[in-house]
Amino acid sequence: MTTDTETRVRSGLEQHARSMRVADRPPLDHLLSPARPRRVVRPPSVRPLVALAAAVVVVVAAIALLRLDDSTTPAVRTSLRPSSPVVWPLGDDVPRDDLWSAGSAGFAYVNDVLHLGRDWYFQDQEPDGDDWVQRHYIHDTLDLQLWVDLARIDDLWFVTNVQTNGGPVVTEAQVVGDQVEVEVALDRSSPAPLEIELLSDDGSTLDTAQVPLEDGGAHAELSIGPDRTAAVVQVSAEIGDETAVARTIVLPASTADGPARDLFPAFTPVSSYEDAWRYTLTHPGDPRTGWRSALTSYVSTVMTDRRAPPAPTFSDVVTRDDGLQMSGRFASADGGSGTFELARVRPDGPWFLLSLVDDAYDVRNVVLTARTVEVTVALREDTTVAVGCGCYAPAGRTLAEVLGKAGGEFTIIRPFESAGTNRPAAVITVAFQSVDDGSLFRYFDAWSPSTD
Amino acid sequence: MLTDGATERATRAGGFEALYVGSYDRLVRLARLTSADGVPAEEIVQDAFVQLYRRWADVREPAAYLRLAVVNGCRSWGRRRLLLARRGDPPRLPEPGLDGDALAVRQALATLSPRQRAAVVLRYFEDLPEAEIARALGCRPGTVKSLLSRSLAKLKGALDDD
Repeated sequence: MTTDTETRVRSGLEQHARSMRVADRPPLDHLLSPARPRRVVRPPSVRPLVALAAAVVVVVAAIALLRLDDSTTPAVRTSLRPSSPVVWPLGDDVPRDDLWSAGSAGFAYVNDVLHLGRDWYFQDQEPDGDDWVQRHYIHDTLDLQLWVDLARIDDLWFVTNVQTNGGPVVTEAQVVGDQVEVEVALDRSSPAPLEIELLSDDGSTLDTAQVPLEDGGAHAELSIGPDRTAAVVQVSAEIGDETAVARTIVLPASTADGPARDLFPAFTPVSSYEDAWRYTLTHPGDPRTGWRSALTSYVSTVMTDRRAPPAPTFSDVVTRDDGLQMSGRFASADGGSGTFELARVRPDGPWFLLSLVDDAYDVRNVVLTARTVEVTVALREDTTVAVGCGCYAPAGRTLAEVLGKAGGEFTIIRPFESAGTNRPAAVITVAFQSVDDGSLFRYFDAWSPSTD
Repeated sequence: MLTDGATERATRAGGFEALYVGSYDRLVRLARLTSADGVPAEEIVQDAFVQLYRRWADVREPAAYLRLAVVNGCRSWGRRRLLLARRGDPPRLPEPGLDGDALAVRQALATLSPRQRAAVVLRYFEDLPEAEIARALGCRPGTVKSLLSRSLAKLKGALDDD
């Protein structure tokens, strides 16, 4: 039933709309021509105010960026680097008229490469330069921020660097007596306190603290107890309506060289689900044990006809004296090769994957949120890297592919395809594929969309 | 001058031009109603058409796409305006000569959040059903229902005080 208020609102909106002056439409060819700047026509009385507003926006953005640059936190974003190599596009498959302005190129990159749909909004651009700019985008529902650096080359615009604000990062973790001192950085807002936990490798909590985020950082001291020398440090940050989690293995000071960061964070809290495997390399239904078989499930070729891929081979394997850390090389049957590094918190405990580096590229960071995975990749060779993810069966499904040159580093953001699942917990597979040689890393991790 | 790719698209752009001519003015009005004062409505609408042009072959519902692009563009501008408001006086457009309900509604709308205002304008100016509003705002229809309910309560209070 229509109320009086609704009637008044409808009538008022119509009257207001009718009273508006609308400037003449610019000719369509002016609007769409890639050969010249878009002609924006506004009523004369508006133009000076908008110009003033734009100038203020630039100044405010500059102040904000300067403040960020002054920050002591290890922000993911770095200063503009106009001399950076082009990371996108390298081939000729992108229409040239997508590259005629920094705006159109940035738009094409954000929409066509990152595939995150309609929720990306352009926030500002800095500076208003002739040859290079940094465009700042915000994802409305995920509270993600994205900085895309673009450079003009021969009147076309190319992406030279892409960075996000990412999730929490444990910058320091060390054992001091029976305490673990933890420093955390988070380059985004989090009104709720960060939850910092000290865990054993079966997921049980040794100690926990809730600390506020101040100036992009937080500090906590947690009790590890007199009988332990190593543990898992887990940080949970509420970001919007999500929880982003980072983990670190803290090892005894005598053998640790700073925190050994686990690349593959799992979601909290651990409750009734099969707890232990969520923290290790091994799937609960997988009878294999030990690092070789566990690592095999991460380093594999693309499976066809559901046949298991040939196992990789391992070489140059070194385990430290205390048995808590191991490193070596792998070679997969598809020609891929690289190095791996594992750590554990007790000599007979399960292994955590610290790093897995392909000779062609290095997966620097993986951040899981309730809806996306953000992967930062650094390239060692000119190659095409694809990233996909989903529940149980991501390989072959809409991998986001990015061409890149050696030395380039960028972030690929992928939404989970089954983000609407109501499962209390689900296995998320994140796949990284070097498209050029077909080699594939297949990673498993756990994700719980519900905290019940 | 259009490139080859653009020319190819332009050959089947009759529908695009008709949409441009037929919906431009209303979209500018939609942008202004949806937004706070000072929004560069023409610029946002022109950007929306450029976006649509680039995706013309893939977009099945061009009118809905434009509406979405305009609403999103205005929300993006709204963030800038909030930033400006924290730093000093936000830019203000001269109000057209309004009186009666138009003025009262305009002032009442200004008490709503950008999201609430967008929901109200899409419902009572564009006459969109809740499902369409949900698409435009990127939320569930149930959220639209509660958004509209809270917005109307707030509007009623503001209009009754007027």
